[in-house]
Amino acid sequence: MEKSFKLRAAIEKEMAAQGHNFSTLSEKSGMNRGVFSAILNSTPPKPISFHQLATITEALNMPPGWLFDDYVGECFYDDKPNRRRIEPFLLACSELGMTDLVRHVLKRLLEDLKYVPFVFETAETLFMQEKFTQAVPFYEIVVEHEKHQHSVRLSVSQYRLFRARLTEDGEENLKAAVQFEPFRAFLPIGLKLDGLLRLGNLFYELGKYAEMENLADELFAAASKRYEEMRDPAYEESPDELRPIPAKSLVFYYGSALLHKQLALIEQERYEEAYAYSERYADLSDFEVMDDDGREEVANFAIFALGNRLDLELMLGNFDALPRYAAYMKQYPNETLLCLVNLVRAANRHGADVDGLLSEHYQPLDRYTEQRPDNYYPASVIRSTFASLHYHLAVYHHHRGRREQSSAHVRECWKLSQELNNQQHFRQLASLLSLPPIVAQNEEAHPSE
Amino acid sequence: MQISSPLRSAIKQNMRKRGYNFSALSEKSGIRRGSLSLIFVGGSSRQNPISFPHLKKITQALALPEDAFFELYIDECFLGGRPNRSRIEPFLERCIELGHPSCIEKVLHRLGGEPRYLPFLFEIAERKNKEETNSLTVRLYEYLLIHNGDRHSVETAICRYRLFLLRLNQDEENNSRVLNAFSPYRDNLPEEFKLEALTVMGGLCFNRMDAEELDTFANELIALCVRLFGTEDQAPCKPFNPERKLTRPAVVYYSQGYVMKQIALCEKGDFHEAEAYSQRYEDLSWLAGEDEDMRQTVADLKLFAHANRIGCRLLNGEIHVLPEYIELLGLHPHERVPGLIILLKAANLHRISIDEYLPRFPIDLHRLLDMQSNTYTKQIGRNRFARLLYQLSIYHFNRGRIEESLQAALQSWELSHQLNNHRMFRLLSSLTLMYSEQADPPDL
Repeated sequence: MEKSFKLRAAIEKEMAAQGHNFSTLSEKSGMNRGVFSAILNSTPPKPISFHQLATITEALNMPPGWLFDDYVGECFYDDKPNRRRIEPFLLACSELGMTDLVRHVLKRLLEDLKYVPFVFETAETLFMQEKFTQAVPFYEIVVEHEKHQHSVRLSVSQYRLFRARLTEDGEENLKAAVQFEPFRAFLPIGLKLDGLLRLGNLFYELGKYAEMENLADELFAAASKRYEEMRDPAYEESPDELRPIPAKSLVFYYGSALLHKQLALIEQERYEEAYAYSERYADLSDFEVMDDDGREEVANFAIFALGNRLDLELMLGNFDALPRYAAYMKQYPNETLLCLVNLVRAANRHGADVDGLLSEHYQPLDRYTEQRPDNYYPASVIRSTFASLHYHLAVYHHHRGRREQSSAHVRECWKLSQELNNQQHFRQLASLLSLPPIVAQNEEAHPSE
Repeated sequence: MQISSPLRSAIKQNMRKRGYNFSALSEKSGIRRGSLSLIFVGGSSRQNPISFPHLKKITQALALPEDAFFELYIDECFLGGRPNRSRIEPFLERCIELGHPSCIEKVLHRLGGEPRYLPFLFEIAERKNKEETNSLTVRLYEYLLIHNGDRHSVETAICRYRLFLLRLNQDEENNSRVLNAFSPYRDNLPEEFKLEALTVMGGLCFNRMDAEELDTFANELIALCVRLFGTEDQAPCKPFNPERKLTRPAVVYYSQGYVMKQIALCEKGDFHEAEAYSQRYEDLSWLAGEDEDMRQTVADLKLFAHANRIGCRLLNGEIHVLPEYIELLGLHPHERVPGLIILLKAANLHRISIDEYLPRFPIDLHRLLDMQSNTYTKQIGRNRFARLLYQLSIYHFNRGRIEESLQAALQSWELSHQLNNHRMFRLLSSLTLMYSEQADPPDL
């Protein structure tokens, strides 16, 4: 009651300051004069609807968000939550980034657990409008209050939070992943596929290949099961099925599972096993559940399969494949960056000289991004790939006794790793300590310096 | 209906082997004849179940290993198609003690996760957890978590907490994950556990040098302690009567919150603010009562608070306190590693030489670990040691002793590998940069 008094007092004070009475303000706002007297003057006063607050705010030329702190009292008028006032108010708070207020109202609302579904639905609406950050406090409060461990609402909220929390910071991402992982089993299939794929991507970037391999197997099992279901003649898509954003065709998940498996094997140096996988996703054109998006993905998988096959040849020491690799890089410029990483890695492994291809294709990150704005890899992947490239180049030049070049790449790798907070790169950089000392070697090579 | 009981057949077979009749078995086992008849005579529908103590006595009388009939006893636990708590409970406990995962698995499977059996499983887990760390209690807690429908119950929170502690090991990456998985659920814990949880969580943050989280947990621990134990001038709103005994004395938790806060501030470089926190745990005698041990703890804390105050001042560039700090270091060998880290860090930050003092404090990981009493503090010790070597490497580098510097860096690197501590790698990557550019490392 005290709150509602404050709100009304503030309105009246501002009216007086601007020289308004009910009639003039009624005229200016288009709101009926009787309404003013009902919400401000009668005892007890009638609750102010959110629309009325907005109208008054506008008529008094006050900024959006004016008196929001005091409006909370109207949401719980007579200590009862009122959805008609709460809903637009929450959305407006959320829009203005008044997260603390959102949390405060939600906490109070969920003193009665019957409102959990309402909060969840609101979160979903925001998320579907791609307002990810705005949706976060709503999902968080659902996660906090949902009673049942196996509820779909809880898993979906955990999945959405995982999605919304993914940033460029590798360590934060890992934290989000750890908190999401236990809930993936209970997700509706569409979200499960997406969740598994993103976990796989994350572990790949962080250099956790055993985990990545497990997830690839899990993703393959889930996609295959889904494939069986969708091929069943009796299959009908349910209209309210939850889909990830962006929605992807099933073949994308199916092929990605195989691709991830192969990449995980390559990184664990299980080259022979990895080799067989190219066959399995190189040509998915007869996949029976298909659309335009799917056909595009199938074409991409063919490119990846070829690239990885060539990469494996190099890793196994077959440098006869170099001209084919060079041609591949020319033909698929989007793949150049990854190719360079593999190339330098293979060169370091086998002590090969790849100076020629490097001088032809290597360019620094800023020039690379400038020239390839159409790249289908997201910026974060590009940056993380560059960090790896710098590390391998540092080793490469070190082996060849080029101290300054090696140093420059160490610095670039270090800079990117700081930004990405990626433990894999830190580990790699730290491992350079165990190389024959650059400093000492340098002193020997140039005793006069 | 006549169903043969494999357990009874097996026992009778062993009796025959030894030439025992029921009188002999009764004599050897100390079970009355009448009881044995009720167990063995008649059709299975009329036979009495074998209680677990009886099974034990019979097995002993037949000179067989204690677990000889365990596999067969599982059916006995579910005689008549319903789980029987009086048999299951002692049986499961003994299975845990002797390490019989397959029997436990079968019993759990047959219990089917039914809610009404969860409370006594929880009690078993809690009882058995007090002894040796045990993969089997982990299994019980996992089972309880999967089947406990209510996420917000105290039991669920305790299960998570137990699993959190049981899953910690010497691998810092594992520990980070375990911490992150547990952290969102700490609020539902009973307070006596929350005190311990926050203290352990603080230690983990310290190992990973996560100053932000350390600060968060420190604030929570301080607020909790003040609420539960009050302050010197003000008693708590209501007296704290925990259901279970505290793992560590109140004084320890109370001081730990402030120590954590102090470390977090130091990590962030707020040395001046950090210094002020010494005062908060310097004299906790009001909390200690008359107990002699507690008085000793309070006295130790007094010295500790003072040493930390001097350490903060040293880090803050007050070089004149150096001799006093060196003297304190000499007096407290248990605090040598953290003390040396502060000393080296101060030397690196303020470009001073400590060459004359270093030989007084030989650095030997194994000797230092021997001083630590349990695995938990040993793990903290190892992590600290890696950091010590990191600072030492920078120190030598700044003095132009590349050889010694690199040696320390490599030792730190090897130790960090064993620890799998990714925050350490982050620091070490800066050393790589330091060598590569022959300039100051960006992280001090």
